[in-house]
Amino acid sequence: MATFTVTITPTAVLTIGARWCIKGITRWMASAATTTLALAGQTIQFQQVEGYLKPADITITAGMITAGTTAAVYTATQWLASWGTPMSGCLFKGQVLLCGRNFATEQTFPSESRIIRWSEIGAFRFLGAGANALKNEAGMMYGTKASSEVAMRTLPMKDHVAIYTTMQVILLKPVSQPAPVFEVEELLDGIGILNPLAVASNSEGTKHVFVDKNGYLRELGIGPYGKIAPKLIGYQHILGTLQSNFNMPTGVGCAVVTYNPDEDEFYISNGVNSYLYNADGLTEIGVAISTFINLKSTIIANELFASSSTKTLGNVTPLITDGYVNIETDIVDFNLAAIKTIRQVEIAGSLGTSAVAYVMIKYRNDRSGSFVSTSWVRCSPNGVATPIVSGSDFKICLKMTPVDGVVINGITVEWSLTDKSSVRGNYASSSAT
Amino acid sequence: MKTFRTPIIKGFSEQAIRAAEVSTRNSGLLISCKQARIQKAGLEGYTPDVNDILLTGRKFYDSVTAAEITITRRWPFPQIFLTDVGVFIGALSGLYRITDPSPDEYPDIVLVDYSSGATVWPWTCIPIPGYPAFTSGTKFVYYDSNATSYVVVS
Repeated sequence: MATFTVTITPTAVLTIGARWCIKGITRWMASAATTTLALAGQTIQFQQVEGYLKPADITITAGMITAGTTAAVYTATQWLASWGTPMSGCLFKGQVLLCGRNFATEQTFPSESRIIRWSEIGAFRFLGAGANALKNEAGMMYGTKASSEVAMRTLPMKDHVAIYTTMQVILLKPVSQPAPVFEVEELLDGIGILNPLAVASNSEGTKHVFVDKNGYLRELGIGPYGKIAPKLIGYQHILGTLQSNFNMPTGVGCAVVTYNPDEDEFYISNGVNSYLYNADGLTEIGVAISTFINLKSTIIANELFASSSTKTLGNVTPLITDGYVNIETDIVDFNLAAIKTIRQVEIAGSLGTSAVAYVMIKYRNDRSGSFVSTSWVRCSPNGVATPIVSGSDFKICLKMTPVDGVVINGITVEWSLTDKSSVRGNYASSSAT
Repeated sequence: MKTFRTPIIKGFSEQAIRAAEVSTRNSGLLISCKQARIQKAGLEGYTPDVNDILLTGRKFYDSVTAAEITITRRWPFPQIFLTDVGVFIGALSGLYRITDPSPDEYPDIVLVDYSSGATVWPWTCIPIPGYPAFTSGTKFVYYDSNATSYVVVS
């Protein structure tokens, strides 16, 4: 019987376990080891080694038998070019998780647009490109919705990883049994995000804030008994317009959520309007911020910010430059449908040094009608204005400048009943003064 | 004439702008609140204090060629990432690392080019210690330990 061998290259793989065998015929053999059992038509297989892509199976030909040898090359790779570019990624307990892929058109099933890959623990090696399949650490899965789904963002959440796609939010829970893999829990069905930056996490990874594709503000956080649960916050009437005419190549309608760990607040903006969301509520701010870092007392900070006391850095676009705090209340009717007269508005709080405050009232007498505005009335130095105006419904508007130093605890509206036709009892018959 | 005094407090101490689309009369909440934020002490005038990377007059230069690099502001670019090996700028035109803020020529910044070429989708950072990776849906920049260099996938 003629001898047959396989030569494996590069030499670096020979000491880390590269082997070949004839499927079903021989044991695993080292490079250049010989066998007399080879026949044409048999299949040569190769053993997986870490950090390299093993050669494809080889079918033995008559020519190879005559030559008594063939060659195989292990390719050093950590990522296959054919896998393209993921939409986003994160690091979670030593594993890299990458998700999604952008395609111009919808792909056929199962579509790599919704793929989620995770690496080996402690190594940037993925299943199918250098990862050791026997360790069962690296893996992949597809989103569970339609092939048009795009996995947009992976973010650690406590001891899990949240995956935000265009159609759902799922949670990957690491489990150790029967193997170190992820258990999948679907948190939100039919609710997803439009771009990878529409979600942000706090520093501890215990709260995510995101704007869903319908413009609702939502949180993912630690619920009762430590369970991770989504929470609908709302504000769709405000944030819904942020993503109008969404077009990533132009940046239009790209809602971005940015976390500021120093102030524990989230900025939500599309570059045209900008909002601040914190544990207490939502307000509008005068700058759009798409990214935020704090360099603190590093050497680079001292060089970057030679003339600035703050060491924070971001992409900051001024949007409101009038220098005023502007506030408008929801509809107020003092629980009476009748015509009332507002006589005085008092602002409680402090307005800062050299501050100027104004009050304006929007009013209407017909609940189906539109509101009419008074002119702005300047407040006295102690924060009192007398914009005398009658109506059934009101909205109280305030504006104060400068912005710094303004702290308002509330307002008090002094009013009287002008139309007593709807009143019964003592008030109607009294001659109150 | 008898007058009444009605305090409106809730919108100045909690929630600020109402979360629901439907108006609730006398809720005390706000429908608009600009240049302020809600805090335990009340509603305070506020503008986030953040230095802009695209400071007026600032120029960026390539660390190798010394050629000027144009960093364009086009929402949401440029993005900035703080990693354990330095500060990266994820720009519309590519990925760069700040290597020298050039204090003698403040406010100019010298950059190391990691991946030039336009991107469409925004960058995200994968903070692998020592070798952070970046991906944008258009480009994927990672450290290849076999090649001992950064690799760019487009």
